[in-house]
Amino acid sequence: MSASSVALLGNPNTGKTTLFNRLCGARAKTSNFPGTTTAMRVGRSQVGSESIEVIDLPGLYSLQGESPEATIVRGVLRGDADLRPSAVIALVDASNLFRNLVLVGELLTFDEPVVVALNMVDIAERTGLRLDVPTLSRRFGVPVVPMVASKGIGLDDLRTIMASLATGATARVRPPDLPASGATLEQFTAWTDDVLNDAYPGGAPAAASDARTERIDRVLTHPLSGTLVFLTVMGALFWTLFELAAIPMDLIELTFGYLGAGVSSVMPAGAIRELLIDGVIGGIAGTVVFLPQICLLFFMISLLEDTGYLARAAFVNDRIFRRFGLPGQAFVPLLTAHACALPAIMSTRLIPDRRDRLATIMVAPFMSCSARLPVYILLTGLLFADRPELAGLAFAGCYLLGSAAAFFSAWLFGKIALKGTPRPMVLELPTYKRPSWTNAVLTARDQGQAFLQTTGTVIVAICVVMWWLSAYPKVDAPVEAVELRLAAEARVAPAEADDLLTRADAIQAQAEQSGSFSGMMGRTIQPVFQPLGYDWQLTVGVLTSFLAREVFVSTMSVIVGGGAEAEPDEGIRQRIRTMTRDDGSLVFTRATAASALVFFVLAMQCLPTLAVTRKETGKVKYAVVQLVYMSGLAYVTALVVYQSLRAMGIS
Amino acid sequence: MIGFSAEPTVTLAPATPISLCDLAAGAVARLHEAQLDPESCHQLRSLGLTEACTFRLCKTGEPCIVQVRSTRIGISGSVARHIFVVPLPAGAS
Repeated sequence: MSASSVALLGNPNTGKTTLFNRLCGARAKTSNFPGTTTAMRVGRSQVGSESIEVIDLPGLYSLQGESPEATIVRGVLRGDADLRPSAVIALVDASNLFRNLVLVGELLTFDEPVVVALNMVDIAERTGLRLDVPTLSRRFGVPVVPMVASKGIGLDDLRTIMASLATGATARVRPPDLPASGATLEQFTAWTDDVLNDAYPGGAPAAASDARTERIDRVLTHPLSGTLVFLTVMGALFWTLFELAAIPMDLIELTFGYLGAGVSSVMPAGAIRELLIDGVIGGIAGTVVFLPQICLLFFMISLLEDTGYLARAAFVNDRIFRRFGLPGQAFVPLLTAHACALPAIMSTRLIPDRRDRLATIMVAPFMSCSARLPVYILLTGLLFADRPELAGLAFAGCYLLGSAAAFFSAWLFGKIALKGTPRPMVLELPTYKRPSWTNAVLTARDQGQAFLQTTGTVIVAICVVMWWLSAYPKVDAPVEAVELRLAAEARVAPAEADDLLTRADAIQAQAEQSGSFSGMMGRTIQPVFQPLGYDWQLTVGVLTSFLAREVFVSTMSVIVGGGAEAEPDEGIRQRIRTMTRDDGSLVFTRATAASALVFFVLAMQCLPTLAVTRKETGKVKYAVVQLVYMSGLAYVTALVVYQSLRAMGIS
Repeated sequence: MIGFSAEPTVTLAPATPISLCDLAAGAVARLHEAQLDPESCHQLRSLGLTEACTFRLCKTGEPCIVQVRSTRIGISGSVARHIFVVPLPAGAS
């Protein structure tokens, strides 16, 4: 670690993120603390000619105990993993000093130079709290800087002291009455009481009740009104994620489409062009397209967290979620998973307990994400071709089935796999505050950047491999396609020639799909899917959709001789509806369509999600368990559906 | 039964301790004992609900909300029923 580095330490909800952003601006990187999955932000702050590294430590209430946060912070203060800072900024909320200063007391038992940043002094003064800062500084034996981080007040003073401490220019005096290292929280609390009695002229004030906060809390945590507010807030969040993110997502797809077309027009046909367009550009597009949802989600979560609402919402959901072994905070990931499982899994960082977080990560992908929509539309249309109202019901049923599977699986994992019980909900209810837009923008940027750096590379690699499996080995153009192209050359009318060439391309694509490694795998693996009613063509569709679910639609479209469009037209849908097996019977009977629909609701068919699961849990085994469990459950349920329908004479 | 510290639990007031769930909204009480696992006990203590501390119950129900000094803490019913407190006379702090 750099010779000039400071660590930022404080309770949650003290404005730590705001101060970090003020100190470092846009110059921050997000990674994980060594050997953990806890996020760490490191930035640089310029003080005169000195560039000081700032490490944002996880928010915590005490340095004692075995929580991951306490373990990490103790490790940093002890100098483990080469992260020992030259000085520590202890950020405290001036309007809630009692509890905040217990942590400062614990910190002072370490030997690092410390500066106490007394944040939100404006709020403290508004509530009538007058603090004698020099006395506080004398009792702590360290500098104390009053400040309002959100407005930049006191920032220059803090920077100056920070630079002086980080370069070792200021000596520290250990308070003589400070409890020894290893003292109990009660001893630190008693010491804090004594310090504050000294530092508040006329003695420490009694804690006053805040009538406005109590009124709002009664509404937001009430079983009925709290649930209504929650549904409204989450409805707005979900709508924003689904609708607003669609605009930049479409633009990204369009841009990469143009890029692919541009490369195609300047490069000669061949393997390298295909690799570039379908593998690399397609892979990057498939990664970048998730960015708007991830950034928007974290932007909105940051705003909600700043207001203090998330803690209240967690309690509203805890009543229901707890019965299934999930924490109340799981509502954000589970709801977000309806848009996309990737940001959903990343947002489980809101959940403090590792067991609870794991449970949420494992089940979030059951929620029907937007990538499943085209598959649901196609398969419900095949299931009830002539009954659109029943197709609509089946469509809604898919969402219900996914949610039911998520809660059932969470309950099951809690019973058989996850050690311990969900941690009972005990949370600080922070004071309501106006959110910081700057924080929200910087949080969204950091999370987007982290996603691209850590997961994006894996996703691109997966896309390239899957493209290769679908594109190779090359097969000769089928005779029928060659004949159609010859016929096109002989036509005078351009429209007729274009039509013939389109048909020739479709036939060739179909042959290439069938002859590719994925096609061969489809034929080889087909016996496994035979009990579910799938022939080799449907098996190829299922296999290729393990890249991403929506690929199923384009694969089926290619197999019946259409293009690779994600939303095939009615003509192609009709051809999929009437496509036949090798024995001439229909591929999509009602039983097969129902079986495939259930399979797609439940199966883990998203390699990027597995990449994120591995990254967020820190272990490959969880991604493997997720893949095997979800796909196993999908297989068994689809088998039961297919065989039951057949037994009932529905086929 | 696990109290807040390794030492035997000491009853700090002559009144009979009651469950936090049975305390009336607005009442002030002294924390007597938490019959919870060590991790949950530590969580409560680090939030400010230390041994023998005085707090006010702001809201009953699920969750109940207590205020200890200037910190408001939401506590789910499953935890609150294992926390035993001694009610203090009105006006105590």
